[in-house]
Amino acid sequence: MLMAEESHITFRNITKTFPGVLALRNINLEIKHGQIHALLGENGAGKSTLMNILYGLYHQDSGEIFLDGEKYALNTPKNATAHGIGMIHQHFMLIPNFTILENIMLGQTSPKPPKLEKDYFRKEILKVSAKFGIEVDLDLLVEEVSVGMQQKVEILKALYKGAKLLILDEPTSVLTPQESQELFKMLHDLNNKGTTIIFISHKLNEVMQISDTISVLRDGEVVATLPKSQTSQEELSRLMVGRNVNNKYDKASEPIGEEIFRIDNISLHDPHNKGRFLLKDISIQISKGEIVGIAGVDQNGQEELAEIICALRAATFGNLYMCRHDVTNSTTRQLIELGLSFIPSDRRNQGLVMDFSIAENTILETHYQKPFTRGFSLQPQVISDYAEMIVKEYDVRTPSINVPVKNLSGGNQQKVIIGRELSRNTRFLLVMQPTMGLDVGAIEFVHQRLLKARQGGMAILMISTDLEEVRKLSDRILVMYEGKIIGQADSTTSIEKIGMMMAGFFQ
Amino acid sequence: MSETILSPGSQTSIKARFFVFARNNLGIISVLISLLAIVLALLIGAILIAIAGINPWEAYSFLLKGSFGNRYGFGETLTRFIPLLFASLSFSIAYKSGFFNVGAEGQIYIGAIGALLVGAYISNLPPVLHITLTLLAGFVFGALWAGIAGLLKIFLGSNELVNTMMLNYVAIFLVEYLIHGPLKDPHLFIYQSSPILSSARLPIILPKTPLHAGFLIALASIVIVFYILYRTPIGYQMRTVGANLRAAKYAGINIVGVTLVAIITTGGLAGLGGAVELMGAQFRMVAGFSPGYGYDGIGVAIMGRHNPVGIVLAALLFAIIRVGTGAMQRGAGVPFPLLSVIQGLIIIFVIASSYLISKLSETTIGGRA
Repeated sequence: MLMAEESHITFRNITKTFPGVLALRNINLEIKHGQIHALLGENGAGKSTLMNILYGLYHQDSGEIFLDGEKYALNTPKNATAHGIGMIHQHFMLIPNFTILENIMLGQTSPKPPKLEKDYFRKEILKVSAKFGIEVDLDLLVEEVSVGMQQKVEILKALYKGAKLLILDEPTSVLTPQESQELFKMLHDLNNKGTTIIFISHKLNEVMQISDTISVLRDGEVVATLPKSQTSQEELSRLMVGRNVNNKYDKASEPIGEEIFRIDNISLHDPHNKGRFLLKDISIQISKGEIVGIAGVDQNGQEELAEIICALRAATFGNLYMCRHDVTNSTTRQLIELGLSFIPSDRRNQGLVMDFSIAENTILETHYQKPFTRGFSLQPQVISDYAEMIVKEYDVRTPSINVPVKNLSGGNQQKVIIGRELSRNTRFLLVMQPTMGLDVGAIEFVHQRLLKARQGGMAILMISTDLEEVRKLSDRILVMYEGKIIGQADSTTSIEKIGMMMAGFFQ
Repeated sequence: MSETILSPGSQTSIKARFFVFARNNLGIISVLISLLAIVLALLIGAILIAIAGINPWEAYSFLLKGSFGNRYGFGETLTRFIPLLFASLSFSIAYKSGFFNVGAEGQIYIGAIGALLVGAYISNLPPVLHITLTLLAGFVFGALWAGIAGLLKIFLGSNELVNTMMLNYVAIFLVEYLIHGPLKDPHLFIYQSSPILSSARLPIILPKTPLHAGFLIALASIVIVFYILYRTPIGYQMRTVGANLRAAKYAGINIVGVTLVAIITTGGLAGLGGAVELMGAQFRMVAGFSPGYGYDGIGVAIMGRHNPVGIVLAALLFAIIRVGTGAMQRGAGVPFPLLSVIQGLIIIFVIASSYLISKLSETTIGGRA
């Protein structure tokens, strides 16, 4: 140690429980002045919980926080702001139909009440913006600007309120790669001007790129705090999940079996513009024991195709066949009874009922069938046993099957869905974005389960915007662009070539 | 687990201790907060009564005596409880299914008309059969009335909140028309319907009080409603549709069918409430047949947080207030507008306290881990 850097925030023995879940256990952590300090960990490791305690959204059950060496007892968001702590949440706290200026001055006391004094605020905000080199057009409506710009507004808002410590919760999860790089540059600039930054992430490469010090959290404990110079991605990844992560899969090549599902010349009109097609002449055949991957940039018709397959939307033209039966006009329930399983992209809104318990969520499609229902009544004991089985089999980390799924981390929520969908008599599985927002450990778990299902003879259609994922898992890759299948590839095709196709270039 | 967190030696702030205590005793604290809310409302009421020149202590003793201080008052309170319970069940089952039925008031009127048609105009039936058919008519008429708003929602997507509300006025004025015209009792000079026949009347179950067998039907209904909601596939589907419509669609649940069932049961329960009130308490249709039971039922359901015990307690509280304030008026001469103010204060305080309770449970329990 050449010089003793001063501590900005110190956590001492912080413990926090949610009902039945120990979210944080005896956290001891020191954040030093003028550093970029990353909190790295899987979903549910406790990173956000710890920061929410600092910002005052939650309260610790026990333990203390010290700010600049002094005890910081009253943690409320208001007090946090007064003490120069600013937090940028994963989901922005902005009012879409207010201008950027109005959003930043919101909640500030006007110098001459009851007048708003917008011009005074404009001057003050511009001063801050010039000092930190953050350029925004104050007169644009928030809903008009890009997500990256909205994030800038959030940061400027926090700085304007006098933040000397910025907490960013998974800031890149909503950004494009270019926007992420801009953000990193901005954070470096801020840091050079003396702002301490706490950066919450589960992405190893980002953490390695941006931080000075990295603390790894696992299961509510700090497992290590390391200077960046003394660690590597491999070490961090091991610390994060507690074991080595496998990046390649052994795919036993199976003889491809009979056709299970066929999409035959499906087209879909744009309901708002009859001349335009959202989907055009899509034909895909999925056979027993194979994973067909659909790669493509988001919003190129994937969502619509999935909805048509699940009978949630009718195609304008074309037919669907399942096990050689025409199912074009079947209902969702009929398809499910024929052996369709669906893992949707938006698990919170499409896949789960967040207020229901795990047990209730495991019978979402099958609750009316035997053995879950006998006569007129649901069978609570049978349902509990079934849920226990899924929780055990799919390694859902939860104190009980009676916990509402909204209290689970994203990875565990996804495990509930996957367990439910794979525990049925499934012949054809449609998967969308199966690992979006999950951490390394959960991603590998999901991938292994999909490969196991394939081994078991399931026909799987996987739609994902994650090209790596599609390449790793699929036997065949189809590339979708503007509602059409514009090319075929397989796992040997280079990323660059598939990337070109995804961008609409093809031979 | 909490023992390990609060080991004796650990440094814990009073606030944190309170949160841990509150979390472990949320049930008791909720009840205490609700009781405190009632006491506060009564205290403010006492000041107002004193300003009006009446001894508040005496006024409140009439409230207690009148509502459950004697046999008759007790019976009257439980009689009031019956339609409130039906109305709140009607609101809750619809609410749980994602259908906002604020039209229980109208459905009570129309259900009572259905019961009147069968109870007063079909004769020579044995009582058991006649009572059954009359109750059934109340259920069916209430369900059909709710069905108007329901079909408008299902087929045209129009907002059921506005439609059920508007249909209340239609129902109330329709009933006024009927008792001035086609259904007026020809033997009377005042505008009332003919009485229902004695074979369709519900027997008194607590002698020397107005308490009738509708009380038992109400208690049976609450058991049946919550059994359906939590222990049957259709109830599971109703709750799923109410909690997350998209997930319900993705799971292959027939949304239209489930919503129809919700509409039929919500309207039917309110209609049944109207029928029971007619068959056990009033026997004739009159203008102002329901003094706002349908609206009170919404308050009861919200205050009772849509759970069976809560609804029973909240319905009892409403009944006590309604009966007890009546006694205050008769006994202590508290003017009627002031009674409305006190009733309103109690309701506002209790509902506000329920927000306090949910806020407390949020901060102590927290959201995602």
